[in-house]
Amino acid sequence: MWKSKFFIFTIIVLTAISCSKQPRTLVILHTNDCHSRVEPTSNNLGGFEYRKYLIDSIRKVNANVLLLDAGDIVQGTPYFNVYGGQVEVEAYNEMGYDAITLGNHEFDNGVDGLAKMLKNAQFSVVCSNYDATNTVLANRLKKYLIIEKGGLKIGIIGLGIMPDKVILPDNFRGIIYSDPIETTNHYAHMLKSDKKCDLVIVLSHLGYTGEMGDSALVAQTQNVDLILGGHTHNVRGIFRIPNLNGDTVIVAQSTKSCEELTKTVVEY
Amino acid sequence: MYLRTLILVGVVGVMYSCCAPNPKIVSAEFVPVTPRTSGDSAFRNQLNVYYQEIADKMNVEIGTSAQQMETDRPEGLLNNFVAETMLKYGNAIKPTDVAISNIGGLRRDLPEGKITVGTIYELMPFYNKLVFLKFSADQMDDICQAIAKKGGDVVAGISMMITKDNKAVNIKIGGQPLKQGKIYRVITTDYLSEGMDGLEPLANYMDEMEPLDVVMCDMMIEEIKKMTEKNQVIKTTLKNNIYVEK
Repeated sequence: MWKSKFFIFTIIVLTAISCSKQPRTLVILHTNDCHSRVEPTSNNLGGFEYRKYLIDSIRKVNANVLLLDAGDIVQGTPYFNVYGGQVEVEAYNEMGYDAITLGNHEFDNGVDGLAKMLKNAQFSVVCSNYDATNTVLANRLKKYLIIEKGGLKIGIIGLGIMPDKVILPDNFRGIIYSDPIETTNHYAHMLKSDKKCDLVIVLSHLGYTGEMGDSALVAQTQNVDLILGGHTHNVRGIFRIPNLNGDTVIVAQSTKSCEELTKTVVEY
Repeated sequence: MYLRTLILVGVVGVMYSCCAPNPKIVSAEFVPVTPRTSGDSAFRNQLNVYYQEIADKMNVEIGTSAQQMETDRPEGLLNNFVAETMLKYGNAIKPTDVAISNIGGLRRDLPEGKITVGTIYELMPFYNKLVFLKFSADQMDDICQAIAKKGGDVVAGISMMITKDNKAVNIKIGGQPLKQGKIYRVITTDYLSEGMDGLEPLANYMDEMEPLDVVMCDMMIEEIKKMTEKNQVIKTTLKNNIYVEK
């Protein structure tokens, strides 16, 4: 009898402990198309100093923050013309970015210029559909990332735009582009099934609209939980779009200059 | 006893499912990056060093514009000023017939009054280098058709009428009708030499391109400085070189 009571008591306690715990949270912050906005814009928004303050203040109340950028961190102000991306990379190190993908403007000083710019980067550069094996960027570009935060395993895929008519061939020399949809399905399946990731994020510089844009990508892919985009400039939104399986996927993108960032909260 | 084992297995199963991460996106929103001074003074100080260096470089005055210049279609004062300056720069190197840039590459107006290095950086922030390209008369015609389709662009050395169905007619280069057998030299940017921004025929040049190894923005700054040194007034006029059929 005593044994039986103890057994039931143990079971109740165990169940209560495991199920009543507070859900943990992961905060995913994302910027896109910041275009060398070192100083605030004419609206007195954005710029590295304000952005760092905002990120630091979010980190103060959240232990698990993932900080990502969807490309075009450079070009658009004299800071890039004069320093070639050094100011942006130093600031991204200081703000504690985990990863970025490459926008078309990252190639404005060519592959060598980009390699030089990224030399001191402390963040990862992920671009799953650009093969840079035969270039000086070979060791810098990652095909995919797995980041562990607060016990959560997060897989990250990066997507770069088709370079035709957007990047000068000379500036893209040696890099091989491949189809973003096939690439996404390949790596997303691998990250979810083989690498057992709890969450798969696509960091995209494909743009929102068009045949090859994020809105078209969602409908033809699966195993992706969140798409954080860039490139379009005149699209601002947090869209909910059904994927290949009919599951809703969030696709977020802001306008250029980084006057704001997107904040996605994940509970687990 | 079996029952107990079964219950225990069940409970462990429930525990496992409760413990295993089952992430759910609960919210997604925009957060504005509002004015706040960072508590990180080392970061702020480093930025201030860059601010000051850039301000010193950008605030250098290089000339005074006699008029407000803006881009327009089929022709605008700023289109003309930029293209005429390019053509003059090209001609100082070797005989050049035409200069072509694009309205999309000009990112602001040129106000009347003081022009600084910063004004020109903002006007043309892209790192585009100048190139010489050569074209046949037929290829020049294709280029003019592309310009007409865009309703005009940043052009010097070409005159033409854009018809109601966006065709270029009455094309003249340097005041002369297109002549079969003549080779035309065009000064443009490496960006447009790839046929970007609706100007596909610019990619079909003859022979090799001749790179000038000068960034368009730097050329513009140097040319404005020279005009200022020579006491030339910085202004232009609408030539009505490219006009639309009435």
